[in-house]
Amino acid sequence: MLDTLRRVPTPEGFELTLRLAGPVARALAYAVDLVIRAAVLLALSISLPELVGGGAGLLLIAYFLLEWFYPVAFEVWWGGATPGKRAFGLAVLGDNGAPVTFGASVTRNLLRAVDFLPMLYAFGLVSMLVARDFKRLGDLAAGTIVVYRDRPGVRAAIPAAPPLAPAVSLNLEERRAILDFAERHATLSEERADEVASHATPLLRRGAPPARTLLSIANHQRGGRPI
Amino acid sequence: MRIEQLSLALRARNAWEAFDLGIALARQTGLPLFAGFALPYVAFAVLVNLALWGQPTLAAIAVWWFKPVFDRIALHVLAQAVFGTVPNVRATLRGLRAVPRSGLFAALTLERFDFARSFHLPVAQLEGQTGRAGRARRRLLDRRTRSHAVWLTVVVIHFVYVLILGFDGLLRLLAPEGVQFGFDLADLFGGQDAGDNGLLAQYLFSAALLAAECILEPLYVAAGFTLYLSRRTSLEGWDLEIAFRRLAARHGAGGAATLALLLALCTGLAVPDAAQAANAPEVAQASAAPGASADKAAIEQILKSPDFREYEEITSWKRKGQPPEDKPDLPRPNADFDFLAKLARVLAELMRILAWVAAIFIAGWLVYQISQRLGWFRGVFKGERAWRPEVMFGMDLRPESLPADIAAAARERLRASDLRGALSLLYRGALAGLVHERNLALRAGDTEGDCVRRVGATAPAAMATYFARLVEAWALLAYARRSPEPALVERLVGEWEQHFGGRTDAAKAAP
Amino acid sequence: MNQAQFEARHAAEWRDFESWLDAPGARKEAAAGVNPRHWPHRYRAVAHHLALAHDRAYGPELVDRLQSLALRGHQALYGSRGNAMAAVIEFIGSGFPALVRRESTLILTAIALLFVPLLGLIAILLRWPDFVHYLASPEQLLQYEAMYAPANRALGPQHKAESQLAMFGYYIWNNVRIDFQCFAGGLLFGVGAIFFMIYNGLMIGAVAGHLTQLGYISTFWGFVAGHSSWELLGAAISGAAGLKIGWALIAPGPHTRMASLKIASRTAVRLLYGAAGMTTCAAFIEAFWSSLRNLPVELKVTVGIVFWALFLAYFLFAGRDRDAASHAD
Repeated sequence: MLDTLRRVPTPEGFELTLRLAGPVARALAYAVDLVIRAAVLLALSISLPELVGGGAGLLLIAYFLLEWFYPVAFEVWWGGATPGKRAFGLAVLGDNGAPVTFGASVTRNLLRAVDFLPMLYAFGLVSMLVARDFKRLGDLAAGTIVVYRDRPGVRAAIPAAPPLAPAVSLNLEERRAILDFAERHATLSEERADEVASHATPLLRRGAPPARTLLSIANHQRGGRPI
Repeated sequence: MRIEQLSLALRARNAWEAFDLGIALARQTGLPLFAGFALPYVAFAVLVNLALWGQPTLAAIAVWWFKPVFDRIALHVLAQAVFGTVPNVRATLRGLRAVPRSGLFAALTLERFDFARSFHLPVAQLEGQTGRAGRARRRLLDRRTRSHAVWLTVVVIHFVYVLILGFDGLLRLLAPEGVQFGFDLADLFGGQDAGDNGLLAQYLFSAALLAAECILEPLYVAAGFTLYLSRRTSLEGWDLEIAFRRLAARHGAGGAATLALLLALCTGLAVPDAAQAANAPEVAQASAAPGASADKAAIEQILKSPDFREYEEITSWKRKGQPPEDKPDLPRPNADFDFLAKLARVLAELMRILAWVAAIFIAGWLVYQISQRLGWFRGVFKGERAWRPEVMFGMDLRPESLPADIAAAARERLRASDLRGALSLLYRGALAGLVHERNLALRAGDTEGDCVRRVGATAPAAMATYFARLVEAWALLAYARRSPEPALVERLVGEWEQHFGGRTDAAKAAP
Repeated sequence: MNQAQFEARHAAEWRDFESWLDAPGARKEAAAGVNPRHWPHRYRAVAHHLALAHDRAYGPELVDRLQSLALRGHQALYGSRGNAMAAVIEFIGSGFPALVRRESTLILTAIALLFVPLLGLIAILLRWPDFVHYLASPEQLLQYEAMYAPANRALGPQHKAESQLAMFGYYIWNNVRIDFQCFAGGLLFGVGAIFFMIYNGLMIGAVAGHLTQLGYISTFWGFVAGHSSWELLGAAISGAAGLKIGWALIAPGPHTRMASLKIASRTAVRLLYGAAGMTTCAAFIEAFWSSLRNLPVELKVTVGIVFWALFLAYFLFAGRDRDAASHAD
């Protein structure tokens, strides 16, 4: 099964499932950061001469810091994401799924200079298209990955129906599928919902509409409390 | 569409993830996709440029305009690839006629500037919905998704320019000092003023554009296609359907399949894809032993990972040219020119072989010369001296790192009740003695057990037994942290001279 | 135990852990300071509960909650702080010179490929000045002569930050280009690396020899002395990295060419890191020190010689004790 996940086993016996981020989202995140940096620099170039006078040198320093330490600072102290990455739900992590370390962040950002070669991040783009886990050269050297951040899962409301115990015992995956079905019921057309539900044959009863039956089971799973 | 046969993992994805899946899909499909797109597209570009000789910009625009035609080839390959059957390049090119053409006219006129082109392509090509129906269908799919598809187009256009400028930059990077490579943008837009130089720059530019598109266009089509699949997954609950099918299979729904059929009929529901329902018994049968088949799939998956792959390079000669099974397809050449054609072919073949032989000979001679000259390079590479390791199990085995009289030194440590130090010294001394005096062939990756086995094979029996006891005591101490009886260690120290005593004299003499 | 009992028994623990996770960074550290083992224990307990919940097929909502707690705990506890630049400092302090010593054969070869043509050409041009016309066009020569003509001194010092920064950018590009050529040429079985090293040696030698023979000593040698060691050694080391890769392709040993390339590139990349650092420093010195025109040439040449001596000492001795330590039992 083709997918874009990276699974990392932890010493504590559970598995991290990381959703790797590829070039399209990352390029857009970079563009957002570029705009932010340019805006900051523009604001400084207007305000600095007023405030301290003769700001050319200071401006150069500001540019230098923005270019090299803007990403590092955000990646290390703001949950692994620059504002641009945050806007697209991205975060930088170490290969083992742990938060990116300072050294790794510095490495991957200094090596942006190599990714930039020969022009406009062409090496970085090709590397992302070719390398495992969509890594650019800096990621390869620093041992980092860029992933989609998981949002803390708040389950949506499900349509109310009289609770019904399932006819067979269900494993975790199956129970999850039934809850998903109930949550997404509203986005499916009525015919399609019944058609999808009709595949769960062991749970259905003769004569009862399949989608309603599954909704009842979902309500039972939620402890009979319609939310 | 038989979604249960998709080789993509279906799950709820956001649009960006869908694009990433598209890139992964294109990468997995590989050559058939990229060559299947590039060969016809480049051929077409060459023809157009020949027809419009001297007007490279116009030609480039014309080629670009007809790009949607070639997108269809890419999607045709991808649509097979998602079901796990990737045709090879030859089959792809032979099957060009089979590529659906529905809605092609609209794609080249009204919809040429559709900014969600690759996302909409499957509607026309795979669903065959064009005209009004197609528009309605697209409107449905567009909801909450179109903006992402548009962003994809915008980003890919930028990627094209990144690759073009990167190509130019690469030329400049590789140009020796004082040589002007690459195309100047000033030349490019200088038009007629730039003269010949400008024309050359324009041709260079369109070549770079073509190359960049050959890389990115298949990815663009693939990303649009996976966005389309992902949209339909959430719209029609494909992932749920597959989960429920699995549920039914796990609980071995014997009569359940018929029940589904009955239900579908009884409740009088519209089942758009009747084949699905008819398929149900097959599905139930195929997954009669779901556990076993899933395990098997998992095993195959793991064995496919790079860790389990074994590479072996086998070189052999093979005559190039048409493979025998294609012979019957060849049209018989005209009998009159048979002789000439045959002669030309033989001559050409001969020249080719001669050229190869010459090239190989020259290359071989060069390599020979270089390796002769740089003979002193040999020591640099670790592998060649692995048989006499300096370090085993993290221990230094060079004779000069050991004390001159090992037994005495060990006895001293023993007296200081440093059992570990004494054993370690004996073990190191024994290994060093075996490696340097008896020329025992060890490898850097050998385990203790390997060492014992090798010693047993070459050394006198008494020495081998002694060594085995020593290793056992050491392994227990080092790995299991079980201190041996001091008496045992004392015995080992006492017997040391008897087996490895010769070594001390040699060490004294050596430095 | 059914799900409700399980939840009831551990709910307090989970809430406790969750509130710690929700705490902002500083307070989290403070809370961890009380008993540093407390939170890791809690985290492991949650991971254990997650495994139990999975195994007993408790409801997906409970499993998801525990999963999210475990993930966040992993993020919070595995984020390593401190010893930030240790690896970088280790590399500069001992790793890089040790690597250079280990690959000394390659490095010396690369240095010979670069410096023999360079110095040889200087010698030739001092003896036969006209030889330069085989190597460079009159326009190029005029350009270089204009750059380093002693009369330039009258143009006044050019150490405004802006122009220096622009020159810094230009020098970086130029140095990166030379390093890249020397390295990437290695992929052509080393032939490209050899070509570019000899070629650059010849070009630099031609300019140096020509200008020396014209007597532009104070301007030219005063200019290049400071950064010469950084730039030329950097180019030689990236060339050595290219040779390493080329050799891996010529003589892959028991590996396939691809595997051999992968193995060699690990070392080559480390060499390149060092070379890149040196090259960047070279551009910096070139832009901000070498371009100062009102310093006595003796000072500048002395500084240049000191740099060379320092590099010699660095590559010969830095990190020796580490070498010895790593060999000890």
